[in-house]
Amino acid sequence: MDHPDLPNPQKTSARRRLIRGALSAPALMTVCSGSAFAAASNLRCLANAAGATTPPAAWGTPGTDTYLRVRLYRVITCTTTAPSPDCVAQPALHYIRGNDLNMYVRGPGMPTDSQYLQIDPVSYVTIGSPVPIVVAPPTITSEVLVDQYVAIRFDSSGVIVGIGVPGSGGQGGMVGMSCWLSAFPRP
Amino acid sequence: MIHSTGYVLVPDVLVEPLGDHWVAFSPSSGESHLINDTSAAIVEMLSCESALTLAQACTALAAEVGTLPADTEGLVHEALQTFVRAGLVRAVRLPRDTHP
Repeated sequence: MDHPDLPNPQKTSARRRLIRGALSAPALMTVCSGSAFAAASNLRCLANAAGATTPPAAWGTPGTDTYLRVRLYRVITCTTTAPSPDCVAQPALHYIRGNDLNMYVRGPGMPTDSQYLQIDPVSYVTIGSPVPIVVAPPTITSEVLVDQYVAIRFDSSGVIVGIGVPGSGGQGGMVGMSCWLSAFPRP
Repeated sequence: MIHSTGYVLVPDVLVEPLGDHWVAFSPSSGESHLINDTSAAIVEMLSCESALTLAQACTALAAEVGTLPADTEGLVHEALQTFVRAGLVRAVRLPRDTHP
């Protein structure tokens, strides 16, 4: 029994596209992935900042310092004063969370995964030692993750030596003026 | 024992036509590559199971375009090296007496 010809679903063949007697040079171009574009974008914002401003004076040991962009947390503490049971909210404080540094080798005095380190939004330096955020009475603390970021600067021993400071000639001013910093007022 | 080099396709490599060109995805590198007809034809000749030597690849490509294998050797060698770096092809050692 004869079978009628059926449409051939065979895939297109590259070999059939070749032209007899004319062989072009093989070519391969890698298409960048989305993550590569994102990384390039992050670096681009620093490059733009560097091109638009005078580089800040060296601070610490720039050759070995590292920046890490981390999220900021706003913590509101509520205290009670006996005999009043009313809770009085204290001014919000800003922290970075140790858990966000888990990809980074931390030096002495840096927050562990369960600790926070306070950042002063005015002086742009760290305050005190790492502390645990305790959610328990009588001091009621609420942690709020805010959609803002700071660029913290580590020295070669893994110790935070500052954060990007907007409008400053030192302490990571270059990074502070870039899109790496979104937490505090910018010039 | 004397060995020669063979080339096999990395498993699960995908090659699909895209307009006048081709897109090749390498699961080992996670990258996609835009390749031309010549590159796609060389990839198409390779398989995951049976290794092809440079000489065999040249002979097969030359037969497709009607040239001498020696005329394609430079192109094919360059292409295979590029494919290895791109994670599309893997170089394997072969006993010389089984793959001349």
